[in-house]
Amino acid sequence: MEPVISLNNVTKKFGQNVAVDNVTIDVPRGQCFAWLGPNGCGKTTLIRMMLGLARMSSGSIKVRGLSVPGETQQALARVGAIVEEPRFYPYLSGRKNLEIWAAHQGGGAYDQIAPSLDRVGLTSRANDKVGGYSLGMRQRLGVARALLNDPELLVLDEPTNGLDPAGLQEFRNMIKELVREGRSVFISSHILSEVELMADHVAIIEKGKMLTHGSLDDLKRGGTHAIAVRTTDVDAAERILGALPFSLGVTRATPDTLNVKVQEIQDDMLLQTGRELFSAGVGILELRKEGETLERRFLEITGATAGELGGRMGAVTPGGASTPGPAAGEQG
Amino acid sequence: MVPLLRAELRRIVGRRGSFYGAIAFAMLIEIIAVIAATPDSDDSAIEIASAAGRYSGLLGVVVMGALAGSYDTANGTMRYLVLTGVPRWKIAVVHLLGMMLAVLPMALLILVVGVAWGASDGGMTGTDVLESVWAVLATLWAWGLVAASIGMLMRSNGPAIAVAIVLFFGGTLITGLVSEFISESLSNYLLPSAFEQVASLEKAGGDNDFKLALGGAFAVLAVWLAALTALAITRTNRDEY
Repeated sequence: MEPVISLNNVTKKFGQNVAVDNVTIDVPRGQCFAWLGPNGCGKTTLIRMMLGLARMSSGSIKVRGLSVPGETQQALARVGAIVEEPRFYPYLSGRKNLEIWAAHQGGGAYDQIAPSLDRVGLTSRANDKVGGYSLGMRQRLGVARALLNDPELLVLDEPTNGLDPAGLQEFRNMIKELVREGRSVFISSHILSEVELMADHVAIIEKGKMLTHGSLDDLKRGGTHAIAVRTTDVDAAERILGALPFSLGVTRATPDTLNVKVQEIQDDMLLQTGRELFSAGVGILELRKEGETLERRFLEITGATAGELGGRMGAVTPGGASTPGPAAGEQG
Repeated sequence: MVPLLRAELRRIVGRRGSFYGAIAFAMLIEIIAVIAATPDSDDSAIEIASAAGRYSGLLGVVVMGALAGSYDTANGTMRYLVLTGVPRWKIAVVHLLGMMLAVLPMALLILVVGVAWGASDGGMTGTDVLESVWAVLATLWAWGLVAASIGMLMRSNGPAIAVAIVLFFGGTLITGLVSEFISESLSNYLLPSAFEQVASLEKAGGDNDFKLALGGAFAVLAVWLAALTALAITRTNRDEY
């Protein structure tokens, strides 16, 4: 099946600064694809180029099989988008705002206003001025606007900003429903936990470069796993755990918890970990398998610690230094 | 194009402060003129009323026009207009045409007051009415287009309004200085002078300072407006959003 978005060596430079660096990827149709990276890594710049809002420095882009720029008008005919943040005319009501965009889109867009408002749960507030909307309501109105042209592809840049927990859940359900309807959804986000709950495919970008991409499951499986140990003596435990034969390294997840990275967790590893600590007289408060999370994989891929990313990315637990283990050298 | 123009008018009228404020200010000054001024053989009642209305209305139109040109880019809505697939040049043209339509209610009110006073004062001819209609429309359209073009070039509301107002007052001042100290002929090619001659439909010579033939003044004004609007459309077409 032809990809819904195809990027080929796309680069964007602002003077000497490379915002997007030679990105090549095919985004599959009919799935939720997440573009994941910290703030300022080039996600929005890439989206603006995909939608013909900004020019590439080099490379080529196809959206729905059509070149952008070149055939932008046809390519965008069935694309809905939120870029950076949803902006409206604050002095007009939500409904009148949508009427303005429907007038520009033509076709059946006007008939889609009521269903779109209904879908995002804004029907009861549709006649209120947008200036009085919360950020979450503007996000939802932005999605309603993106749905006016019955889009084959939705491009949503940080769409969960400003949504409360209930709104987040509604939003996730809506995205899943849109994908079930056969639409393709392209989301950019810096919130790892959100992406993990919504996306089928993920690409990780940092400093304008795409580091990896693949299905969410493959991506998570491809990384190392960890044994988490909460102990009474972290320093002694760190030395012992670092020397375990299967250890790829030890990191401090919290002040009293260590994570022993391993390639794949086996039960006898847990037993051996417990035995070694016990025989050294180090108290064990908790010993468990760390699940496969996108957060852990993201940290591995970007080579950053949780602490470094804590300020830039959402849903990252703070952590500290890491100690490489004997098995680390065996990794490719 | 009609749905786009309707949407543009909705946006301009929706900015109630600038739209109704401009009309209210023009009406206020015109009514003061009606109360205070005394028509004579040189200036008839309708001429006084329409001049008061159009020059005061011009100030409001400059603000309205600058906002019409800059608002979408400054507010971040321009990228969503572009995403609808409507060509950028068309969006820019709609901004300009929308501005020309948006000044019509103000023009109508200025003329209604002028004609009512002229009729009650007596001696008003059909030519007086037509000249007033032309003067009011030419003023509001020309400066509406200039202001909207500046708005599109500046992309920011405050600076666009400031530059448009400075261009009007400063342009008149510069034209006067050029006429006084450099060349009276050259000053006729500047925007304020060409506009004045076109709006007043005065021929060269007589007791005015105009040196261009009326057709020449039309051509000079057209070149100024074409240049400004072309620059604005080009910028809209080339910009990133």
